[in-house]
Amino acid sequence: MTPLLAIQDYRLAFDGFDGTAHVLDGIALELHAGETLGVVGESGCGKSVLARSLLRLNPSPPARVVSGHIRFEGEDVLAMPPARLRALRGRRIAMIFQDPASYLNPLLSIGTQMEDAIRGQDGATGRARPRDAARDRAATLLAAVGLADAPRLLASHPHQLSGGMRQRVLIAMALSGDPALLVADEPTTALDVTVQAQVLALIAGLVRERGLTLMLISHDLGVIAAACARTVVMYAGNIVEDAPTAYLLARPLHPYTRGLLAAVPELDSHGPRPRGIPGGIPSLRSPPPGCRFHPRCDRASALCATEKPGLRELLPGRAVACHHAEV
Amino acid sequence: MLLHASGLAKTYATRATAFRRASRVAAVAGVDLSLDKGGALGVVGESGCGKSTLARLLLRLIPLSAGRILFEGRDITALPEAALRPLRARMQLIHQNPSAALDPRLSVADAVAEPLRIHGHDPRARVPALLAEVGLPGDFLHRYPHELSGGQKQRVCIARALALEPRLLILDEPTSALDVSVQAQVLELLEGLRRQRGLAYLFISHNLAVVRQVCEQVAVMYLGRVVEQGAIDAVLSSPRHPYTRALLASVPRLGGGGVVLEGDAPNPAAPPSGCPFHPRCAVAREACREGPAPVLRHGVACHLA
Repeated sequence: MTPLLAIQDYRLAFDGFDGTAHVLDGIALELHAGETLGVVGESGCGKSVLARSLLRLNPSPPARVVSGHIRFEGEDVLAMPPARLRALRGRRIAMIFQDPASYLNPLLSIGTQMEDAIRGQDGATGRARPRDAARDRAATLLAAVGLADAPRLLASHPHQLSGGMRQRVLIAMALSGDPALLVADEPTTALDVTVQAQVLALIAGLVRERGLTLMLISHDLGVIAAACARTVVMYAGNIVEDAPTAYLLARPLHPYTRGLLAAVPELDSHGPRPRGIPGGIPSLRSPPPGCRFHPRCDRASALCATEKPGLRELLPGRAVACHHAEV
Repeated sequence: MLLHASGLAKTYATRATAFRRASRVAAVAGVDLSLDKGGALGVVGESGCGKSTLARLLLRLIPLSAGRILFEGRDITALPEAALRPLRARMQLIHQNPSAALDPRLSVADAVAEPLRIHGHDPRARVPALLAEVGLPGDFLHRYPHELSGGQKQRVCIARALALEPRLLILDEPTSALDVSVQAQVLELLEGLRRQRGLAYLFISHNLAVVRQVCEQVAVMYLGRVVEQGAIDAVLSSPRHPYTRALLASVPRLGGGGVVLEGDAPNPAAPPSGCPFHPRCAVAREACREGPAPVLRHGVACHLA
């Protein structure tokens, strides 16, 4: 079966006045229809840049594709002409972001914005439907994301909604093009924990009911564990581990994944105390040679400082980029 | 007892504008708490519950609407600003965002020396020792904030807060802006400092797991009130208030699962009648909707506990 999404040797650099940052350093990833993939990593690991790459949303300059392909449904996103790209954005791949408030126009009503989104989706491939038909569709979508009383909501403005409601509205807009892939970049990070649980449950439900493929980006392994069957771990522009979430949590193979798991404070009072990972994330302008994690790694050897480990499949479905990883 | 507060309240009045009626928002509505020398009390709650306002009240950074604060046995509720100043050295605040807390034009050495200078001490001997105490080597002295990572900036803020030998640190979400691997380092540092210096912490966080690591006691806030208070292990293992239970169940865990609490926190300008939690409470009864809000008794403010 051809994968829905296939990324091969994707390298992306950001050119700046003080040098070039090698932000993504040879990403290889395949995602099949119906999968739920979590992408976890700390700030600066490249997870959001990777997500935005799927829709070519990284502004260029400064972003510069150094090498690689991103194929979605067999077509290379990086080579798409603008018209094809418009038909891809929102219709085939939809995206939601961390801060819902900054993706809504404060001056326009929710109804106007949703109608625009729906008619914009139509317009990318054909004729836009009339406004009242778009409004009906908006009301249906709001119900699908658990927002009752659509007429009142459609007439209201973003500041009248809570953060959780705004994120639901954006999810409804993301669904308006019936996308195959939903990319969610830290969708619950700006929300309180009780509201976060509601939004995660909503996303998981939508994925189930609509057969969506999900790519969920988060710094929080707990969030990923709640919604994703498979997880990739990123560090300094590389995927360092790729595994079914349950296995990744139970038996991480990469030293960075182990460190990340050991650093999460747990609620249950019997677990070991969280431990930090010594050192900090490297500069992407002058990343360490070899394995980018080796200066912080307790297993590092001379080989790690000279040769970059590739992602190799140790067990079916479990890949790790480490010279010393073993099963 | 190092710090004792009773009946603390802060009400903000908003003026009417063309778009809005005048309203009164009770950000903190009658909070009692006490903290022993060397103790650590966590204050948890979601945004808008009043936890940061509480911190600012305790430090007398904003005027109180009601209540009384004793610090080291002394009533500081009505102390004039001049008399308060020497006490400020003994109670320090650490903010969530270290980038905003540091002056970008001051080097690390100058930032840590500033409080010492203001209080008339010679900073030269003390600054390197303070930096060493927070785990920053000597070559950081002449760096500027933009050259530091988030974790390093927070360490500088901690060194600066320790410069005047405080007895109490009020930490307002000190690790929320940090990555998890760095958060663990900073929490480790805070635990060590507390042991070595006999510091007391009032630790404000939205993250119960973080509070568990640092504190023995915890107070759970909802809409300006403490709804549950007690030893952290007891509260986490057998929460008694329905809100605490919901909060615990909402935390995404590596093992998965959990109950979802319906709705959003209510608008503090128009709080619900009766128990402020009743519109979202799974077990609310008639008594919860009417009558006065339940008060904190035996560590829990719930009619049904």
